[in-house]
Amino acid sequence: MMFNRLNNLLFGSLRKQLMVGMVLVISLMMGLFVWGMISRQQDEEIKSHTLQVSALAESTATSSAVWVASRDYSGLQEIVLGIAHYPQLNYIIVLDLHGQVLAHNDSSKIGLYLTDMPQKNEQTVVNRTSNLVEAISPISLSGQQVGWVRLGINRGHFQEEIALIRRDGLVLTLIGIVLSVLAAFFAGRILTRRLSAIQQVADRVEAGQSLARVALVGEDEAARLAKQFNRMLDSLSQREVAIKESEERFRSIFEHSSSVMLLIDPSSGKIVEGNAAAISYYGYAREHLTSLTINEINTLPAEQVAEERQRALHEERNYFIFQHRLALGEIRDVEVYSTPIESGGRRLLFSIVHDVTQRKLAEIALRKSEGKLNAVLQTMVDGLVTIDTAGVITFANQAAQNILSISKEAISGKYFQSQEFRQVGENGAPFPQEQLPLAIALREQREVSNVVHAIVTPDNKFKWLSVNAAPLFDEDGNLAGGIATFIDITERKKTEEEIRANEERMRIFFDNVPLGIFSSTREGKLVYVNPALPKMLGYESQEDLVEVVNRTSVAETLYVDPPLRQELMQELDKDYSHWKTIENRYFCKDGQIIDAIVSIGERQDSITGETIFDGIVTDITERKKLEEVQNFLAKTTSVHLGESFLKIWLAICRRVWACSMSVLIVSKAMV
Amino acid sequence: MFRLISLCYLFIAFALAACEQQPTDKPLQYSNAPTGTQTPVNRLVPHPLYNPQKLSETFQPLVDYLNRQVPAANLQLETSRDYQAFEKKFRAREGEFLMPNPWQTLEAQKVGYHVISMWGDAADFKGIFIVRKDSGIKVPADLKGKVVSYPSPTALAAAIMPQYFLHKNGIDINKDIQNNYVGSQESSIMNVYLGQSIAGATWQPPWRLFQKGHPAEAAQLKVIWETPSLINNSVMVREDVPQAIRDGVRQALLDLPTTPEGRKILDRMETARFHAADDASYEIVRDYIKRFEKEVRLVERK
Repeated sequence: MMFNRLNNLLFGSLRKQLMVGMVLVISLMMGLFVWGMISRQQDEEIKSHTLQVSALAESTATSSAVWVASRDYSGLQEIVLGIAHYPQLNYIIVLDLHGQVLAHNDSSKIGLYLTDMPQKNEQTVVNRTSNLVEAISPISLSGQQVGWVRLGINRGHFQEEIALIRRDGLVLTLIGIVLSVLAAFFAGRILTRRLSAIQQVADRVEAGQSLARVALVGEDEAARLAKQFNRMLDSLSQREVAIKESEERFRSIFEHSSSVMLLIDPSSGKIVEGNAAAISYYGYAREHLTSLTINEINTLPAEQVAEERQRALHEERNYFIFQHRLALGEIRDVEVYSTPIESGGRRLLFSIVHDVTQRKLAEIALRKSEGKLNAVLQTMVDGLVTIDTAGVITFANQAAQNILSISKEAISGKYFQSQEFRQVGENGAPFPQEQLPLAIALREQREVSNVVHAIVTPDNKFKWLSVNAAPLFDEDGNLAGGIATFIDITERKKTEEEIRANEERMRIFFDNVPLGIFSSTREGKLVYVNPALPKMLGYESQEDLVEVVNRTSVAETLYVDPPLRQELMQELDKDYSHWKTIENRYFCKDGQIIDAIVSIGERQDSITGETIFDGIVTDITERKKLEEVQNFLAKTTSVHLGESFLKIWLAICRRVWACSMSVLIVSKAMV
Repeated sequence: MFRLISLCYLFIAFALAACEQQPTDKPLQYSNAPTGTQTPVNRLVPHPLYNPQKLSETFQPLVDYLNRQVPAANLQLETSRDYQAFEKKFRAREGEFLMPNPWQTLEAQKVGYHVISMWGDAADFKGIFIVRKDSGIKVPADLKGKVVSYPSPTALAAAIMPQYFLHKNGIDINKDIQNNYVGSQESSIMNVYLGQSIAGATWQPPWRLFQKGHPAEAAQLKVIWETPSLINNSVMVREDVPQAIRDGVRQALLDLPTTPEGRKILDRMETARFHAADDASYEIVRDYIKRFEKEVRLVERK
């Protein structure tokens, strides 16, 4: 308060400032000048005094040395009294080394002691009092100190001279200040007369006369200032119009926007204004809405809402998710964008409110869906891997990790063509990288199915996979990556290998066994014959036999007694689990007839379901001939011997048949 | 900001104007007693054979040496402005140790001083006359009507013996010449150099010192006559000085030629050595003085 009053008194107007400035400059310069002069005078005087005092002390010490050394105190006193007439000399004392006064201009002091004797054997000059300079000089004779001289010079007259100079300087300074004040006053009056015209216009503009302008002629600084001032007023007017237009634009946008907009006082939270959309959205009348605070709409605690407002005010944050309560009590999720604006000279928060309730519901549904999908992906038996366009693995489900015997951390973020994943083809050679299903899917943007290759697991085992891959596209149809599903076919591959081996063994057996083996349909068409059968029947090859027989049927082509086959089938139909063994007679290709024992069984084809008859043919033509010979001989020699031979032969045939049947059953089962 | 700075400036300016550094008043403090304890000193007072400055230069090393050799002595050199001042001192029994000339030795004995040593060879104690080389003086008779300078009427070698020499050579020193007693040996020589006197009486040690100290001036002077020798100066001690100190100082003086430092001190004093001596050694001086006073003049005006 005090400072303000003093400030106003000294600097309240340009004229006062000018006067104060002049006073400061003059007083400073004069003060420095007087101070400098006095200081210099003092320095010179002190230097002169010091020299005088030093010289006098040294001279006295020199002249008194002999007297001190000789203890001629009367002569010493004469010397001292001779010097005592020196102008301004206050005292002169000659002392011995113990401080005893040997001679003094005041003879009553002789014999006394001075208590403050110097410690060093050297000349010193000190200001003993404000008006007294003292010089102390050692008295030496032939380098041996024998005493001291102390003399004091009064410089009171000099102080008086200095005081006089100071007084004169002060008077001159005051005169200078007075003159400078007068000069500043008149100069200020001349200078500020034209400035006051500008001031008056400024006052009128402030009072609302925005079109008022300064009319100063001339080219001096005031006139130039007036022109610049007028230009500034013009600029301000234009800016004011622009601001008004801007405010109107804002007002229009605010009012007509379909978005919910609010103006909120950041300190109290009071809703200063809401647009038509806000009134419609919240369901309050305009007057009611502007009587509320945002705390009554926002479901968060008032303190938290106030904190968020301050964050928005300080532009630390401008995006918020709140829940707002509508007039009817319905709670809605809203997204709020708040930014501080200046309006009517105060700061307000301009908030745009978007209802995101539906979006949030959709998000929840999406999250649920994603959860399900994720559950499916994680629980499906097939392995599933996705990659981005760069080939980096972005997802691998649990089955993929299990099949590949690799952890999620070890697979995620890796390139699917990484060296860590060693793929091997069915031929045992490394699988070409460019032929990997995902590589094809990415490169050619097409689906790839049932590609089989192995991947070498970390424990160096082959995992055989059957892989499908397809490209993934984003919503714009651009390639976004790829997806691959795969199953572990290692066990299947193993089984197939075993079957293949068994079949090969059976083929070798069938090709080399000396019995004819065939398979035929119910209609009598040959499905299979082994190499021994055409050989047995005189055909050139298996194909030749099949081709000839299948022109008609087995019964018609080969059977000597065609109806026998029908009877045989009927018996087998009755009990298809047991094979039938009969003797039969067959036509060879050349028309000859052979005797054979045929064992036939019935079965269903595992693929077609068709009834198939498998048979084993043993050529017994020679045996029959032999039997005939035996019969002939038996008739003539021993019937018993023939019977025994027949029994042995039949036993052999039964064993061959049993063996063939077991092989056939195994082979069929494998098929 | 400008306004604040201006206000501060005004405040500081007025504050500075009101201030001036004042020295602290420290008036002189007198007391009736010295501030510390003082060790008693024994003053060694040589007779003023040189001016006090030269005397101090010459004898201070001896005093320092004796203080080192006999710490209990605590000697302090004291000069004298002239012979009269010196004689006044010892007659007032000021000074525990004296280094007087032979005549003063006799005088000091009267007030309680005793000889402990002789200072220099006896043969070296003889007076000399100095004249300017261009003075034209050839025989003592040439001095008649002229001014002759001496240090003091009581100076044995530099006044009494030269005057007795002139007396023996037919000069009535009270009538034929004007005797000018100038206070010191050097002054006696300088008077000759400056033409204030035609001849100056002194003795060998001061003359040798003058030649060293003033070679240019000495080059214009010469020794024209020498007196016969007598006995040299003495070292005396006051009777109340403790025997131990007295013996210590005496022995230290006699031992001076035995050390390089001692010989250096002796050289500075233009002295060969100190000899053992006592009061009786100076009886010849008493006889000499008697003759002188009888034939020439009284040594001192009563």
